[in-house]
Amino acid sequence: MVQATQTMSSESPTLGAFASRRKVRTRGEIIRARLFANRLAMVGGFIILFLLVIAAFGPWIAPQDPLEMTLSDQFMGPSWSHWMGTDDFGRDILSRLIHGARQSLMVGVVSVSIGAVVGMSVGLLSGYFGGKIDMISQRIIDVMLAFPDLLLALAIVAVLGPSLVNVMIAVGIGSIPVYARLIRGQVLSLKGKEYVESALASGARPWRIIFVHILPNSLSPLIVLASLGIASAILTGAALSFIGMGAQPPAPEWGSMLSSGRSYLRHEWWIATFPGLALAFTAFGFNLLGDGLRDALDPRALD
Amino acid sequence: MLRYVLYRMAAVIPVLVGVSVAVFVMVRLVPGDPVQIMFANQAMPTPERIAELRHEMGLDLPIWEQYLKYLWGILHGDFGESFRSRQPVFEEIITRLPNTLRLTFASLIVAIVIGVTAGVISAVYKGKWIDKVSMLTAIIGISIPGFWLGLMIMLLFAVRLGWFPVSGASTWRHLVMPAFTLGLLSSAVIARLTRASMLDALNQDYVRTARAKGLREYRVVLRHALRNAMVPVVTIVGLQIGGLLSGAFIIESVFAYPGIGSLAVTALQARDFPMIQGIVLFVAAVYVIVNLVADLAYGFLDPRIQYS
Repeated sequence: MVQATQTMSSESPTLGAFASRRKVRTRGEIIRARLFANRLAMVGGFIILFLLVIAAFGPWIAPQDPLEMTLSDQFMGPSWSHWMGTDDFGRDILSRLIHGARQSLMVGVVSVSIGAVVGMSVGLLSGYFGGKIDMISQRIIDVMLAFPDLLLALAIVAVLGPSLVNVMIAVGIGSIPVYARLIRGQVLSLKGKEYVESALASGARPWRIIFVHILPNSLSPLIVLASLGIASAILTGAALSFIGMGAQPPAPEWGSMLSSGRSYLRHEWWIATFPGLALAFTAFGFNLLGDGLRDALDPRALD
Repeated sequence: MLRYVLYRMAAVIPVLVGVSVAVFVMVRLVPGDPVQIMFANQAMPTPERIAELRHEMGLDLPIWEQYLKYLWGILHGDFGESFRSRQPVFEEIITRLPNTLRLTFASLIVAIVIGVTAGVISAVYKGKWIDKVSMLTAIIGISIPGFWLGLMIMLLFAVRLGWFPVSGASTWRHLVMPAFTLGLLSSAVIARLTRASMLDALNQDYVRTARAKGLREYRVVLRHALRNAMVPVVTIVGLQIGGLLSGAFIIESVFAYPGIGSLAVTALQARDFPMIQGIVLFVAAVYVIVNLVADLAYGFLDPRIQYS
């Protein structure tokens, strides 16, 4: 109905003027309008877009090879030829940061995907079917929640061994409980809604009810959590690389660059400073967007 | 009430058992034989000696018997022996525990003082520039990697200004930089929650009543609104202790602060599994208990919450 009014308004000015008075905005339109009106969220969006471009075209943008060592250029401070200086092997820090964008974004996206997909499945099954499935999965989640933030990821990466892929798996597994709890709560509250009951009464199969009626309606808090989760996953991943459990040198990963720069903090401050700024900038972008999404998707303000 | 407290305390036991199973299984999942890992960086002993060691460590027993033996040990304070130092794990943890507790406590105070103050000011001046600045600062605060903030604080206050010692833990001056690093990071979360909770409280009828009585604004804010707004903040502070404990892992190693965190990082790097296992188990147990206490405190603070 709304779409029809929109097409009319774009085709005929007179009808459009008539229609616009009665135009009903859909939920999606309201959310979009609110998100676009939120300046900070837009800043966050642009930061993410900028990073995506850097990650996609890094090899073409970077002024130098991130792994090329030029020992004569060792420890050069920021200058016109090396905007962010060079490190202990004479490698250009800016080029290394540009190449590292891909790795950091990957850590964020992959680990959040692992956490969200597994957590969502557990939450859906446990909330919808209840009973034994719910009991067992909730007890497992209780145990997982007993490990504070970083500790679970640390323990998992200790078992898997140090590598960036293992960091993604560890951080992903570590975030499963949050998503599982969130979706389970959503399912429990939606299960009692009339449209779900009527679907049940009309003989819909459980899978149909879960995927058509329940899941789409519980996505908004998941999106908010995922956006904020990417920020914290990137920081956790970098922290693991910082202590040597993630990306291994000479990979241009921001956390491990920071780690190798700490030995030169006294005189060559730029080696550790710029990777940290890059990490903060990235997490800032996702946090701003996540906050904006939370405000825009807030159901209390939608009605 | 007492029944509820007892019930909650009892409910912690299966979680702790679950944690011990998880940690036990986790270490068994490590590829390779424990004895070979133990001698990873040294000359491998003779096969006879390996068999002897396997027997000593109980690795030749069925898995459930190994677990029971392990659980029995834990209940008696025996967490095994470190591969690296050959010292009992429990002793090393206990020796370092006071340092980590001191750091966690100090950073918690920093976090609460800064977080609550910023949150209250933001809520009172909602929409004004000071609110916008402090909330933007809070978002920046949750975006900054802790280990980097630590290095930057170290660079400025220890290396450049020379106000505090770079590393170690012998005096209170050693505590200042790591405590501020950790505290600042958590204060961002506390500030955001305090603001939301204060805004909620300031809209309540009792605040209007207090104002109508002609009370001064600072009394209204501090005595009436803040006291009520603190209830959800207490829970998040409980959760923050977990965050601080695990944040301390990285921050302690940045400042070479001799606590449990730096012990864990060294153990991780050396693949010292008994030590990792002991620390993970210990910290998880502390975290579960702290959360229980925070949960119960919630009930004491808010008499509206009914227990059944």
